[in-house]
Amino acid sequence: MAVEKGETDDALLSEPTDTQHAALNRTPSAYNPLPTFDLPVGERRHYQQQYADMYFARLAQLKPAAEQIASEAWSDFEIAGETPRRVDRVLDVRQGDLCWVIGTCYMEMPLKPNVLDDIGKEHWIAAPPPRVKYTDDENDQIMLEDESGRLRLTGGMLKEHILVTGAIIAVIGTENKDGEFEVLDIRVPDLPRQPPRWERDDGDAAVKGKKVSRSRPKGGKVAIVSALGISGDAGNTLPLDLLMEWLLGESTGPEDQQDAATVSRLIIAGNSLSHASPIPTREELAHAATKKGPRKYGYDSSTWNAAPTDRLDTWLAMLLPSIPITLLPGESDPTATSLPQQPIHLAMFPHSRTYMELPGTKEVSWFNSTTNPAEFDLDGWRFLGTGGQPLDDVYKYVSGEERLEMMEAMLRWRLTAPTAPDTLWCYPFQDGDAFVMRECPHVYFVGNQPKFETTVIEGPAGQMVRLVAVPKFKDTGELVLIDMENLSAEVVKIEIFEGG
Amino acid sequence: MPRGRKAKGAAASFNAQSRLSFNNSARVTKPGTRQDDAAKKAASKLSDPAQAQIEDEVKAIETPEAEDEPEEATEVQITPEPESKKVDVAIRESPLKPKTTNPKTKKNTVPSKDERELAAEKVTDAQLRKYWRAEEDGRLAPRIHQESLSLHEKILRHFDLSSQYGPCIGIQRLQRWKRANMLGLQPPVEVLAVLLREEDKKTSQGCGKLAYIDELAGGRVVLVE
Repeated sequence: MAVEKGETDDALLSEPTDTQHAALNRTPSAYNPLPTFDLPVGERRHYQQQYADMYFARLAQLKPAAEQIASEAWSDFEIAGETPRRVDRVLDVRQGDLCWVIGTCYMEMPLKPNVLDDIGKEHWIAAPPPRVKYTDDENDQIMLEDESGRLRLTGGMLKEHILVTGAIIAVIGTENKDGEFEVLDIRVPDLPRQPPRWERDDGDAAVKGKKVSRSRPKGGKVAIVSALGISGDAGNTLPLDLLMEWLLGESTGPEDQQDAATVSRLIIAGNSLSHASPIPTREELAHAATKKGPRKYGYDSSTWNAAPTDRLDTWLAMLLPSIPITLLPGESDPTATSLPQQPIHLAMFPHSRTYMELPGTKEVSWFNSTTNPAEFDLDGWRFLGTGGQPLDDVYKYVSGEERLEMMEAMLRWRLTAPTAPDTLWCYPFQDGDAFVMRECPHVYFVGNQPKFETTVIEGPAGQMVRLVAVPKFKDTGELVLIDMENLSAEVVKIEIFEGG
Repeated sequence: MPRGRKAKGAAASFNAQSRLSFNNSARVTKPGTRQDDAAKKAASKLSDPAQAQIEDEVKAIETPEAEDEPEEATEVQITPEPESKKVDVAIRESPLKPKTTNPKTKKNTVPSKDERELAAEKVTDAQLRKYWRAEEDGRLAPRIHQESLSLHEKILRHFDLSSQYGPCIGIQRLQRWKRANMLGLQPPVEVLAVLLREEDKKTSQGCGKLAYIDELAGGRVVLVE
């Protein structure tokens, strides 16, 4: 920042004055999280149940919605003079009869991870590299399943729709002579009801007897960043520090500081630490097996490196006095690997702990370490976000590259994690699948994606959802800003100038 | 992993450290036989205020678990929120009658039943027989190998095998009915009437809590009570 001769730079070259500098105040943010993905604690969390309960609950919850959409679409469908009839069970379809049925989609893919392969791999020296996609066009089969059985689906229509295991679909068609169901059309439950802005906050105030204020303060912007990737190596801390300075308004000039002051909340969407996952990978296990010396059963505490969590904690603690933060865990974060991942415990944050609520209390604190996926109300808008695992898993099932299309498909299936018990580890819900979306969010963000993408999709009842794919901060240095008044998304890129 | 293996392996390891258990059955203040404990304490020779204080504390520790159990069955959304409310209720109760207040606090915090559950409480034995006769008349041939079973057991086995209410393995019959009701599948109220009769020793005809095929397959009672 050189000062040219003759140019007055009032900010730097003026005599000290007594006038007070106007302190910029950050826009406040109204935040109200939902406990949708909180698992019961301690005794009440059980793992003895089978996943069949979860699939059954998912089908039972989404069947009414799918039925309504399908009956509206196909009530006047006529082909060759035949009208379709609704069939209750998947096995009740008859050959040559035009009918429609609702069930769960199941993709039989030989390249999907198979537990039997895992057992076989332990006897070999090296594991094959993990696959990018499970699709294999010759050998894949798509089936429709419900409590009665499975029905194989065929037809050209299947290629035009994104289908993954676990999606609830309604299909119309007929059974051909091979016993397979030829599909003529597919319908999905589509977007659920979208609550109007401020609905929950107004409802809470009404319940408590407070006066519902019609005028709300103007919302600012919310910053979403993902994959900070703190690993304890010294190499990657400068962009983080620049990000912190930008958010605190310590860097840049007055106009940019004004912009930074409108950012009312920071959401960190997963993967803040780069390899802190508790379950060791196959390579780490192999390395531990070959290590000589006294064998330590269970956890070897001498391998603990506190630098990454320390770095994350001090970084958060420097930001927290100024800006509220919501932290979602990701795949490589120190919390359970099965979805829904529970909040990172406050024991990991010795400095930031003062801003967190005590465990067991239900208040919402300034620093909200929350679940993954997470659903919350921010400035009245309903946000739904994940750390990226569900979308990355759906990506492996689909032979395309369009991540926004997959995000749209997940919303239209009303499932936050459609592949959940099949190839994505998850908690065995027994009473109801928590991944079924009951209400449509206004903003759906997914972290840990290769690049920034955004669009707005529309639902049958006029719902509008802003989809945001948040890029990895470690690779791209980008963070996403969403304006709370019109829900538009923009990107701030932090780059280090390298080179002579 | 097959169920039996873990238990055998742990018992057989010869420098066996005693198994750490994180469940409440190993705790000193056991929520098992509440009424008996309260009766014993009533008969003990402590002075009344000290005894009342002890009972109060015991209740405060035990009632959160006692009240969690009926809550768990009827909630679809798994929220730990009601817990804090229940603890407050327990502590504010008067310490005078420990024997009778425990079942009362249980009923106070169970969520209100919906109409089908209330209708199930009013079902008479004649209605049960009529329901079962209607079910049997719907079939072409009579059921064989069920002559030795009681009416309650026949109704419950038919409910177990009705797959539209979900898998019957790994869940108790009452929990399964409540889950099917919560999901809007309208399981017959007569089945709930039978299940409620089974809860009571006087009207029970000896049916199990788990589905019969689950018991055959070596099912364990899931601790969601």
